[in-house]
Amino acid sequence: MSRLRLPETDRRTTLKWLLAGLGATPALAACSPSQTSTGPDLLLGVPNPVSGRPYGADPDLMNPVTPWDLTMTPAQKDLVSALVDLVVPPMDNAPSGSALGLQNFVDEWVSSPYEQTQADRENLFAMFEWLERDVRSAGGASFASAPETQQTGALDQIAWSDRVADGLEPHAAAFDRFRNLVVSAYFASEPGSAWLGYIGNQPSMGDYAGPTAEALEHLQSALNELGLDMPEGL
Amino acid sequence: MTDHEHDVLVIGSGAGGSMAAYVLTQAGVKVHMLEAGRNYDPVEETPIFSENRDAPLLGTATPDKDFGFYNATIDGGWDIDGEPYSSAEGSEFKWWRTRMLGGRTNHWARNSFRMGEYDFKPKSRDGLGFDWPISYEELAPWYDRTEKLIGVYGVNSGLSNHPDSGTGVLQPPPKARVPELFAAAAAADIGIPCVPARRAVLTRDPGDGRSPCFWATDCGRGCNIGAAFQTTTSLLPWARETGRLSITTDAMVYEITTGEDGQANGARYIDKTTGEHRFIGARAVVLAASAAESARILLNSNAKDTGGLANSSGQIGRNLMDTVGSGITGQIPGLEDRPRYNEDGAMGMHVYIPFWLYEEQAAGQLDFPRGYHLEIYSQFSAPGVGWGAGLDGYGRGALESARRYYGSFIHFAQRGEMIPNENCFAEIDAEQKDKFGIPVLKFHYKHSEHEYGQVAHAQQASIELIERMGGRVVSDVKAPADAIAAGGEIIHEIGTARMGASAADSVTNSYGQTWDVPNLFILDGAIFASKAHKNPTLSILTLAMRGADHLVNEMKRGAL
Repeated sequence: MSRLRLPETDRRTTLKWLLAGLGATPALAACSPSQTSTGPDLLLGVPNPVSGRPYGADPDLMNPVTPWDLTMTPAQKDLVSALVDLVVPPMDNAPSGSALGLQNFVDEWVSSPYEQTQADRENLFAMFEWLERDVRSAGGASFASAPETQQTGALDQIAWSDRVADGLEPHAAAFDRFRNLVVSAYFASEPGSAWLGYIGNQPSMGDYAGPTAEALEHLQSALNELGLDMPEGL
Repeated sequence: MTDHEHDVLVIGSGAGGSMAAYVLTQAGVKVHMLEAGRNYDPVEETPIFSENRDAPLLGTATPDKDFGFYNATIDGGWDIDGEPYSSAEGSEFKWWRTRMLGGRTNHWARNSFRMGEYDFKPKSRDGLGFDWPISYEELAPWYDRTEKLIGVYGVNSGLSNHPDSGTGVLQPPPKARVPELFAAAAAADIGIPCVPARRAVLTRDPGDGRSPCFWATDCGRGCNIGAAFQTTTSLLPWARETGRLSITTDAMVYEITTGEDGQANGARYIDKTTGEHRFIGARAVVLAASAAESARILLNSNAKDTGGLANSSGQIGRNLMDTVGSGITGQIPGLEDRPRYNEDGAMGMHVYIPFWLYEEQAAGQLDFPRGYHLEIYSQFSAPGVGWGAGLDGYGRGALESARRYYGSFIHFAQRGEMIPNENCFAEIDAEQKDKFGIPVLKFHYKHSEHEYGQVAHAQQASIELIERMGGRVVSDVKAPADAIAAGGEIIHEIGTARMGASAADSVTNSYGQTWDVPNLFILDGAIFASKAHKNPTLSILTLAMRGADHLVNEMKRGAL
């Protein structure tokens, strides 16, 4: 049987998409919350160490709480807010990413005491430092306060899979993770969910309504193109 | 009767234990139930409608909660603090446990497929594995009763080895979603059946206090309106209403005790709230702690023979099986940018692909001996972590491509039959104990060419379906030995105290009654003689109903 082959990047990309679409992201592994970036030469300051505990195997599901403190420095938060707005600009009357507080989700993520999120923390913090350094070396005061062209000048070196500058692959991978988290948080927000078009979590009485006439019409044309018949009785 | 009010002790509150308690109490028998986990009330504790954005880390899976924050697994998972298990060198087995009242029924997928005539006589059909000491025809009326009682949606499709239910038993299934219709169209073109799935989700008011599905909120969180079947909203409250069921939770059973006559007379457990060891007596014992835990309790029980209780056959712990699992994903351009509508539906599958090659298999035309089905997953689902994966760039362009691809991926999950083999078993680990001091299980597990051949076939069929849908495969298509799910990963482990026709090579008769200890019944997945590709819970419930009914009759006639 023949099999369609995708370019490697595309296949990896779509696989990740799929995992996303199925909610099948692998479980995060637990870890001891000890690692954190330290050092006197950090442009964005020294973040607080990760503290707090995992929420455990029996959290209160009706009243969710996040039992760990946020740890990013004010300068990191400023940078992340600016970066969040590049990933999620205001669109179609929906607020920008920072107006929705998505930077706080990034902080919640990197401050959580799990192995996976701690690995992300190291990679993301290194990427934040690199962006800050890049803008400053171009004469800017800081990434957060730089004009957008200066911000995108830095970001464009790591944000596009086919244009990553040599040696910047780790930061490109970190930005890929960052974008994933921020876009996830955006789509999970009320305005982002509406923009994406998720219509669910709404109870209705009687039989399940099923696809709308418009949705069926769209399907019919897709089936027609492939020479397939609309199934009956389902 | 001695020092206890009840007649029968039931160990475990999942599918088997709860059905046993229901049948026994309805018949006037007083029952006491022990559950290793904590008490759980889905009416009070189900996070129905809660949004991912309100949960830590958007509700994504963590080591604390393998299926996400809101999932109704409490104090459970593949790894539990202080309750380890081991795997033999070269073996990987993942043992899921759910330590709460109602057990895994609180969060299972509710897929409810009957086993058929071939499934009960597999050895007669192809010479492999073992036949059950019961036929489909004998069990059919019990399936009807079980389905009618719990509520199952589906239709009678009249397909080979996929038995029809009795008239009026099934509830109408929900309409298919767009991707499901698309898959069904491709399947029909290829010559593969695609029919309404069967799930234990109410679509009609059963008139017993539960409500039909209202088409929202993930069944895995539990269902506080009782639409998605779980014992904590049905069998357990119904049994309690009789006034004949009492329950002790946080009771970690480690031994079933026997008297001078060799009959079971109770169980020893650890009260997890105090750490005290306790004994509770009974006239008969129903063991339904889940397949592996039941085997562990029996192997740890003192008995005159050294191999554990009810184990003169040596079969306890042997014949460990799990459903064969693998999956292939595709991206379908024809599903891109499609009109939005509420696709939550019954949350799980509305349609699926049952095994369609029994004739070819019997004629020797396939290179694998047993069947599988394909579960179909694709819908506009609630956003959470991962929805931003695989993008390029940033800003509006990246977000718009995410929006275009939303709902355009389809996943075909193979769920297949595994054949028991001598390399798959659980035994007591000679060295390790859990935090209660109870010796733990050591798992041995190895798939065979039978399973690998089946995985290869399912992969090719899934790829063909995706291609006929005009799509592209986006999974890495691995070699079957790498693609197959680890033992236990599908959470259908069964077989560790199999039923059979004789005491020489099986642990129980067809009623789950142990050959060696007539007043000890095993009524969970342990007693399965084979692992059909059908998800096991419906059959556990059905066998438990029949077994408990037999126990009632034996007690009535004074045999126990």
